[in-house]
Order: sequence, then structure tokens, then C-alpha cells
Amino acid sequence: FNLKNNIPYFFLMHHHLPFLQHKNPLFLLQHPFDPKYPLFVKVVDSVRGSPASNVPVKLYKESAEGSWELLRGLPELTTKEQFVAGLYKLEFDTASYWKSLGLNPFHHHADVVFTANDAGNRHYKIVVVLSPFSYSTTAVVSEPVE
Amino acid sequence: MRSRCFPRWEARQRWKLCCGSSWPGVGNGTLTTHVLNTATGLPAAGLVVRLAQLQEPGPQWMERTDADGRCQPLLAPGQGKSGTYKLHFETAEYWQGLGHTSFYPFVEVVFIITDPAQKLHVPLLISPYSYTTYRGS
Repeated sequence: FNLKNNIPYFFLMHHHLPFLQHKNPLFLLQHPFDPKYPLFVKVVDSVRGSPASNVPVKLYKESAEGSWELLRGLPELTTKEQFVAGLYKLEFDTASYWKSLGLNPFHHHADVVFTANDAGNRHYKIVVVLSPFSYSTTAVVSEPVE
Repeated sequence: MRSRCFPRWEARQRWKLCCGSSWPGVGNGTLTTHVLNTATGLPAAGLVVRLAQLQEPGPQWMERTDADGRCQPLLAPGQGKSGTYKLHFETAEYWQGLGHTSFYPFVEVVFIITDPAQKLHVPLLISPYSYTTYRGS
């Protein structure tokens, strides 16, 4: 699978994987293209042109009662059997990231809310591009995989 | 072990839905927004926008974008206080109205107002699988 065909702007993403793992508690979400890990998250600092690998990330799933439940325990999401259909929220603590660089950012945090796997098991790549006064997010969603 | 966290956008964090239309016809609000459909390069008309402020109770309020993707100023002069605010955009409903699927059921932008006297413009650029937001002026 050639990442260049999918997200040309981020063609160096796979080189940054070793840097993503050491601080981010959700590092197991960072494996691209591995059929065992259906959710891949990438956060980029567009000011410095670097991975924003120490942005705290939390993943929530909407419960039956309509509240957000924090998903702990990475094994829950490392297999497609665990990544069930539902409403998910990725919450990026972008303010802490910018403050650690000595900047006062505009956004309190960045949320990405999405429905997953409602029509078959798919692979999701969520990319978030940050600057102190803006952010952008894109999703690349595969066809249902067997 | 799963823990409960704040519910979707209303109760537990006590977001107050702000009043925005008490100054009809006023052009100089302290908070404006603009939604642009980047797939067509056209304004996103008829999209529901709600504003809420963290940790204050209050009545419900919402606006809908016009043909230019804009709505009445969301905070009238004197209403903006320092604090954390959330703009909620009903984007999936908008895309469904155009016959498209989209990835996000809604988009929320949570931002900080430090200077209540400042004019803030918080636009949103949307496509079915992406969005961008920034602080404008």
C-alpha cells in the first residue's frame, strides 16, 4: 500500500512512527496500514513542519445512554473485533501542546467526532494539522475489509 | 475499566447556549462565523449553528446560515465575556440535504475569548471528509 497515493502531503508520515510511540498513551493507534489496527491517527505541527507527537489524545465512544465514555486499555482498539460500530470522539489537547511551546493558542482543544464501522469494518486514518490559530482534519476511510 | 466523561455537548460541562439575536440588524457583533463548502467553492447555506459558553446556565439559542453561509452576529456588543465557547455546526444535516454522505455527524469548535472587546471571526471550511477552522478577523 503506497501512502503517497493516498495523502501526498504527508508522504513522510511513516518515517515518524518511532517518535510517536514514546509519550502518546494511544501510540498503538499509530500503526498505519496494519490490518490489525483499524484506526490510525496522525497529528502534524504546520508551523514547524513536524509531527506533533506529544499532543495528548483521548478516544471516547458514545455509550447507550448518550454520554461519552473514555476508552482506556489500548487492547480494546487494537483489533477490528474491538473497534465496533458506533460514534467515536478523538479529543486532542492542542492547547497544552502550544502552551508547552510558549504560545497562547485560540482553541481550547480539537475534537473529531465520527461514526465508525456502521457499514462493515473499515480502516480509518485521521489526520489533524495544527497551528496556534487554526486546525484542519481529514479522514481517509477504506472500503469495508474482510 | 471504563470511566464516564462529559456528555455530548450539553449537560455535564454546562454549556450555556447563548443569545445572539437580541440586536437584530446590528452589523458589528463581537463574534461572527462563515461556513464555506470547499467541495463546491460556495457558501454553505441553511446550516444550523449553535453557540454555547462553558459553565453557565442559560436559554437555548441557535442560528441558521443564510445563502452566503453567514448568520446574525453570534454575540452582540457587550455580550462577549472572557471564557471558553463552543460553536456547534450541524454539518451532517447540511450534507444530507445536498444528498451527500459525510464523515462527521457535526463539527464543534471550542475556543477561548480573552478580550471581550475584540471582534472575532471563526469561519469553518467543510467538505464531506475534512474541515478547517481558524481565527479570523
